[in-house]
This record gives sequence, C-alpha cells and structure tokens, in this order.
Amino acid sequence: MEVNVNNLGIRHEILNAGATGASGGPADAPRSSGVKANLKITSRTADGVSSMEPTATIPDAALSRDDDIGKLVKSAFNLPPPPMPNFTD
Amino acid sequence: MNIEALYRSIAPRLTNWLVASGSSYHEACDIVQSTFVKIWKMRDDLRDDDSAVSGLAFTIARNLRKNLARDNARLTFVAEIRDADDLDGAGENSSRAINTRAYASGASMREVDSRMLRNRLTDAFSRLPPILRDAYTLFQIGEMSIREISAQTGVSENLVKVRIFRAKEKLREILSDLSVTF
Repeated sequence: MEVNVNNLGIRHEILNAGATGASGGPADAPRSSGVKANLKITSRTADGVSSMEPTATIPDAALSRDDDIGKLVKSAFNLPPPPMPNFTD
Repeated sequence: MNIEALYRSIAPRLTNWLVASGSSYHEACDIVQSTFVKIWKMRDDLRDDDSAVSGLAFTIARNLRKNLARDNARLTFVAEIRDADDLDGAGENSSRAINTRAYASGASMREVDSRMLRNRLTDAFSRLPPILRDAYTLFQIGEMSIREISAQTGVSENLVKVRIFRAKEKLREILSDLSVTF
C-alpha cells in the first residue's frame, strides 16, 4: 500500500501489518483510507546515504526464523564450512 | 580465546551467508578461511566475547569479498551457485535438465533439490533491495541478533526489524509459486 505524505511531498510504502496509530495533520483533513500510520523519518542507512524509511512496531512473532520462509532458507543453506585452517604462528 | 570453538560456531553460518549473498561456494570457503586467519592474528587484541568476534568475522568477510570483487573487476553477485560439482545453468527453467544430469552423476535427490532451492533463493535474494537483503540474510542465515545487525549496519534495532519484515514479505511474493510443505 502506498500513502502520499502530502505535507512532506514524499511517497512512502507502508507495511501492511506494521501500520499503527495516527499522527499529524488537521483533524478535519480528508483521509483517503482508514489506515493510520506512524511515520518516523530517519536519515541514516548502512551506506551512509540519506534516505527516509517508514518504521513501525514489528511484533516478535513476525520475526521468527522458523516460519515458512525461514524453514525454506534453512533447508537450502546448510552447506558445510571449509576445513579449519591450521592456526599456528 | 578458543579460536577452534569459535570457528566451529561461526564458520558454518558465515559460509552460508556468503553464498546466500552472492559468493560461489568456493569463494565463500576461501573467504571464511582467510577471515579466521586474520582473527587468529588479531587474537591478542580481541575481547573474549563470542558475539563481538562473530560481528568482527562478518565484517572482515564482507571486506574481503569487496576486495576480491574489486581485484577481479567482476560482479559480486552471481545468480547461480557454483557448487563443487558445478551444476551450471541451474535456472528455474532448466530444472529438468539439471535433475537428469545431477541424478546421473550420483547426487541424491535430496542434494539436487537442495541445490535447486538454493539457486532459486539466491536469485530471490538478488531481487531484494540491498539493505533488505543484508538485514534478512544476516538474521536468518548469519543467525545474528537484531542488536548485532544494528551494530553491524549502523541503523536502529527497530529499523532492522522493519527491514527483516519487509524482506520476508517480498520473498513471499517472489517465491509465491513454490508450494512448501514441512
């Protein structure tokens, strides 16, 4: 789902399951949908490039390593490591 | 610091993470070994903290791979897995040919299925935005905690969670044609 954040002029993709709460805007402002979201703007990324990402509270259950995708990944990536190097000075 | 114990704990995760994020298996093995030789040389300066060493290992491995890519002047991301017995051309459209060749070479059905799935997943990872791919593969395959990934990537723990969540959602879309039963 996409939400146009008019007062910022920026389009954000909102997590379907993460959108919670409401904030900003005049009380009588028209809303195009019933979805309310908190948008937290951050300017840090791993690459140091300024960007803005929506954040939301993700429940721990949604981060399980043993869900459908997690099990799929686990079953595929079980390659053996290389032999241990000979650790000597 | 028991470097052998650390190797047994970290090397499997690191090897699989490198493969999942674009290295061939052989390249991953070379990088893992080089990483631990570096850690061995640094051992007197390291804290006796397994989590810190784990983070350091992933950082060193990531840098070694960048250096390799620069030196080789080639793409760091390869969609196909080049395993020991080289099942080249393992795209989803050629699965039948791969099956035939692999079974004929004596590989078990489980091994072939695993390779095909790995190939498919690696391709799916390559289609994720790098920041989502990084967060998810470190979490799922690198088995790092949210806190460790936050320290590794320099973003908040909350943002790490969002990225993992978004990566999973996108992976479900990309892999929606797979019927998975456990």
